Amino acid sequence: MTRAPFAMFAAGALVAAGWPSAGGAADWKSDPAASRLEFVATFEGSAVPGTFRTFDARLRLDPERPGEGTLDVTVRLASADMGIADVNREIAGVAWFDYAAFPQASFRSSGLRRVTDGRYVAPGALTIKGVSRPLELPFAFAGSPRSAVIEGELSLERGAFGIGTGEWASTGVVGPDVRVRFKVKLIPAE
Amino acid sequence: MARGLHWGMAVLVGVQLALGAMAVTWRVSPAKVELFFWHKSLGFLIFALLALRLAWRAVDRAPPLPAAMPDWERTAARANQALLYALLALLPLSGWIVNSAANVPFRIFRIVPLPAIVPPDEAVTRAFARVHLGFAMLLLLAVAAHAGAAWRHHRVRRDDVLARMLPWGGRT
Repeated sequence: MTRAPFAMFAAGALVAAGWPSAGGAADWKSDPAASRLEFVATFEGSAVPGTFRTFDARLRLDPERPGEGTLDVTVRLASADMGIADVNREIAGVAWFDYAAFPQASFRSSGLRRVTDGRYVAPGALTIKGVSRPLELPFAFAGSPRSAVIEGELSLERGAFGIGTGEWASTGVVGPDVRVRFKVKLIPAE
Repeated sequence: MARGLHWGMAVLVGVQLALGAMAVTWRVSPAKVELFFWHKSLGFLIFALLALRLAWRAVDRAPPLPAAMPDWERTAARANQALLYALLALLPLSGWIVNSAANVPFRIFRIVPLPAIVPPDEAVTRAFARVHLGFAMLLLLAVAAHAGAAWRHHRVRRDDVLARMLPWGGRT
């Protein structure tokens, strides 16, 4: 009778420590100061880089069981900075990101898929401006028990999310594709 | 050659002033972006033609002014001509500063990428946009004085200063 509480305590301690041989899932969150979420649009045939300064990423990953993992990202759209004052004012409006109506964009994965060692794909849904589209988000994961980094790159079609509507929907001045790049430092979420 | 450059640039500068006025007043739209694109591209073409023109002028001297012209007219003519050349150089340069400070990527005629000559700065953008506009106003005045003087040579003085410059005129 007196031993049972101790056994329960010991088991609990092992779980809390993320006992490696148990192969448990690790929960990670982004470290904002050391993370970047960037994009490159094209304007009159020239590349225009931009960045989202405020975003949050959460990763649950068990390399043994990636199917049970998740990658969730939330981006504050109004933190976009394209380095051109007039453009920054313009993209806030209804034709572009429409910050007032859609303050956040999000990606929610349903499971993860391992491609090779350290490379995964997160199948899920990307929601921007109220439009949800399926997306297979590729990323590389490298980590130690205390910190990790995920990085990846993908191309999005702005028209699919209604980014640049009306006369901006034509792609002569602002190109159709936007390259998105991220490098996120992760720290344990506990 | 000198006449060709003069009249060619006269037409381009006219188009350029119109494009600039339309670009700044147009509501934000792809059309506004296109207007700015052509305004900037044309600005660099005019800048290049100006360099060619000054080089040509150094090689092939302009014909002398009529002997009957009083000194003040000669001084005024030279001063206004110097002002025209200066403005034709200062307008593209100040525009280049505006574009650089605004941090807008730009390829001249979608071909030659334009490097920035000042770091991004909104205050500099606004200040040099005003300078650029001021130069444009000054150019309009200088062109008006230049054309008025040419008309005066033709109708009041009845000399050949305008006639010898006309594109269809004979070689002097």
